[in-house]
Amino acid sequence: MYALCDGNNFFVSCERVFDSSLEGKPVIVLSNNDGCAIARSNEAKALGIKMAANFFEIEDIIRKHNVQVFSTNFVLYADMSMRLKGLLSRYCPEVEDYSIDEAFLNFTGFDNNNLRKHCLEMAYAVRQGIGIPVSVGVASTKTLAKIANRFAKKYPGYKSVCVIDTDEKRIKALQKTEVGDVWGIGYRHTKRLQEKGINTAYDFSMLSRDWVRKHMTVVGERTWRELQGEACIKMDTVQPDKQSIMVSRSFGKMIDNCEIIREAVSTYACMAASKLRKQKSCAKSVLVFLDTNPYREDLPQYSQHIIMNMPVATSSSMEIINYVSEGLNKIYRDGYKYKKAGVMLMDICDEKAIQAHIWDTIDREKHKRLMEVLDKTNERYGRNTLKLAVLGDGEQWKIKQERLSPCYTTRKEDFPKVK
Amino acid sequence: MQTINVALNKLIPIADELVSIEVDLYSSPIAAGFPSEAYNYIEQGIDFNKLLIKSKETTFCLVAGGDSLSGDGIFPGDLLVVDKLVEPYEKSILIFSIDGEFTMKRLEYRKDHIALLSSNPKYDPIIVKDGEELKRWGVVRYVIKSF
Repeated sequence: MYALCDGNNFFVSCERVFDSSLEGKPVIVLSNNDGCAIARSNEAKALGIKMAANFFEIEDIIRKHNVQVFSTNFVLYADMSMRLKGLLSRYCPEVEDYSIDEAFLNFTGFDNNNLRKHCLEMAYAVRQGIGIPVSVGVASTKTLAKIANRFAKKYPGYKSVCVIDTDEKRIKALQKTEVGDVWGIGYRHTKRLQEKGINTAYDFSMLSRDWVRKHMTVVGERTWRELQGEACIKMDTVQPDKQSIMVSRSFGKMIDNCEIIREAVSTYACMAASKLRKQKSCAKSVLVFLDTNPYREDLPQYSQHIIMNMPVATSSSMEIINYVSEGLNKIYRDGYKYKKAGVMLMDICDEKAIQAHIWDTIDREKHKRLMEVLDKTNERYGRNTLKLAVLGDGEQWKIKQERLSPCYTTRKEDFPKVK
Repeated sequence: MQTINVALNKLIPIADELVSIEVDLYSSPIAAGFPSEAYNYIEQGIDFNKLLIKSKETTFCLVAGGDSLSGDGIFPGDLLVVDKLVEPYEKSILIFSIDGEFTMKRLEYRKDHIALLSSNPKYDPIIVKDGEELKRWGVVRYVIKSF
């Protein structure tokens, strides 16, 4: 049996762990740059605030109902997520880190009759031990576990754990699930299925296997088989090394100054390079891009990217910044107000598989040692303790996070105070 | 004598190469003098994480800000190592979170009720009767003070 365990309104719940005055009140968390709602408490959902609703569209509701608004505190959410996954692994030997607030658990070999009790204990441990309410769906396949999880969340009677362990329950669950809510069936296929009169997951499961394969490829067929109870999607517990690493952000405000954008893209390059070194890889080329704000139709628009090839694959922040900076010079045009920029490291290879270059002028050993010191210092004393001067202070371009909560769990000066 | 010379000849060229080697002082006691039994008992030193954190995922750090447990020697600024998962026990110090504020009290089981005590005469005990819900945030396992 497989289980899907996820935190209910995870980001909101993280805020509530350390501020109980938010309990029972409408709370939302905004995306980067405080743009739109990415997490909503049940009370906020009840007010009609939709997922990804633009902050400006819901400002009236926020004021009228005194909705509590937070910026994304990724430091806090990431720490709480690590705690969640760690605690889950005490209850299951194989945990797949599926997203920041979700994990698949493989309960193969466990006594199925005891599984509900086991998962209730697990849900209690997370609720009490970390303070986050979770829902657990248990079934014979991952796709069915996802469906069971929806039921666990929707009906309080399940007490946060729903197990689909008989064919009768499976069919009933499929009949009550809309086809578009099935994991793996996207928007395009949903529309097409609905046109054909296929509205529920059950309708879909009654289609012929041949039809599904013909019209929805083997991917759709796999979902179809999973809904029959045949486990096709295995646990994915090993994260493969990334083939490209992208760091891009919208600026806090529009910028028409090349030097400020240079600070920003250099910072993104550093973040990407640090990820690259963490997975012990090097990159052979780097892409830089630059965009104006497409929503400001009243302003002139410009969007450009460039790929810079580096003679020797590298993971040195200094070297990568040089190429990013040169790339920026080539694509930057005066007279535009820029809203977004980004850096993507590409052609990634293992750091041990670097081809040396005969005209190489860079002391790679020295760079390597310097980067090691940089990474170790920042790991130990916090991000950006040590950084290259070109990065500046970010005052002009940093994302807006006006409603950021303290980093309660990781920063000494932010630890909660007990009266 | 000859055997010594043979041994020297063997040794000298090797010694030339040994400009610097790292010697693991612990794992290879030198045979001269008494071999000490102690080398077999080298440990890793003190790891305060291990010492103070029994349950990594459910342990949080809070800071004392009030004087309600001053009688127990807990003063503002003291670091509280709090486990949220561990079950409360007699005389344990509990953290509560009420209306957005954290407070701490000492737990005492009495005949037909539970008492939450301060160790400062300024504050009266709180009585929790049978059947009333008592929702703790966590249990203080250690207090770290700076002198």
